Amino acid sequence: MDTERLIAELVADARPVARVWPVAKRTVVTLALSFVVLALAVWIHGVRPELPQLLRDPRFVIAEFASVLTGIAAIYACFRSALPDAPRWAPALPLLPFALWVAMLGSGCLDEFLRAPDATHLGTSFECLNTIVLTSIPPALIMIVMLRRVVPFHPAAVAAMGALGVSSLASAALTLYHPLNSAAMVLIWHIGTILLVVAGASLFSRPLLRDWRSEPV
Amino acid sequence: MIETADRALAEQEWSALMRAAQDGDQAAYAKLLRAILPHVRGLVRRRAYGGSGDAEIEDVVQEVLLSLHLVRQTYDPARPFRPWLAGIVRHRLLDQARRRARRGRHEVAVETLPETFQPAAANTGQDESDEIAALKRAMAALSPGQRQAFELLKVKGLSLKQAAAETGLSVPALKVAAHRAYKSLKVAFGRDKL
Repeated sequence: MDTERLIAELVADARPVARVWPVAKRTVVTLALSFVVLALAVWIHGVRPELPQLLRDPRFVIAEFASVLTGIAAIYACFRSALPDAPRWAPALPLLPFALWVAMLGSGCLDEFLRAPDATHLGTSFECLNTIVLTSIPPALIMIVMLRRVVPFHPAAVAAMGALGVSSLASAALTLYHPLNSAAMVLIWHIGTILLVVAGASLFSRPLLRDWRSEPV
Repeated sequence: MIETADRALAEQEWSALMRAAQDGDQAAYAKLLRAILPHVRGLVRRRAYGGSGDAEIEDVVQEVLLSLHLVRQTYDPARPFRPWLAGIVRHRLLDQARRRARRGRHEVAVETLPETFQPAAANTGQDESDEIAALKRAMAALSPGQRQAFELLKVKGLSLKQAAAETGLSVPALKVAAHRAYKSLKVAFGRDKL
């Protein structure tokens, strides 16, 4: 097709379009909804009794702070990298706090193992998995709605970052009310769940982020 | 210095035109697309895969324009226009590189390409109903790209992914081409029978 003719066709099709919200606005809305859902979850369950004691442990505080930071950075990076002019560093943004978080948990595991190699007890905690997934769903839905008209060029990466964001925040909240005192268990069940959610979201990114309204065929 | 001033002026003008285009101003949109065309062509030519011919360069340029059209709601007038446009160009060039790699793996050069969608010649004009003849005329009036997209998606019933793999075009390009074909045929028939 002749380029001039293509331009004429595109111009003929140029109906008014509503601009998508700026990244900062979408990030704030998602964070606000996450905060409401997670605060509700903490309120329903009540904070774990040993929390004041844990808050005196710098490693716990750094890990908790890093998980919240991962959530915020990943949600921002998700919206930012969905736009055509996304900087190349956008997808790497949440990886720094995420690495810090995993490093804190990893050093906790090592400590536990060195202190009592035989006492390291690993079990199952599907409650963590269920709760992280369930409390991630409402903010994830609002993110999907806000991403629907963006038509990202790399949907898998965008979905992965969004999933990392909401599930990290869910994990940070869960840490406040669910007693799981072994760093190894937290590493397996919290980080494991987050990785599962991220893998699932990127696998189903195309149907999740499809813009049904502007589907021309 | 003059060039920098020109760039800044063009940036402001393009941003203002895009904002107007988002609000449905077709004249501004036409002006913008024509104004950015040499810039896009230059970017594609500079960064395209080595050995890309003129036709291939123009294909990528057209895909950039189509993508711009499909994502025009994502432009934020508070942000500069050039990086937004350059981002679209970068993504479409990546697509071209992927297509090239795929073609290199699966295709063999042939002297003459078979006419895949050449309609079978009718025995006599009387065998065809008026409607089929009208459909053929309407199909013939479509551009080759639109006809191909329409035939693959609507006649052969391929998915967008399959059609993209078969033609080497991107999914958005196919979507838009098929949509245009569909609209043109509707207009040609003057009713919503399709």
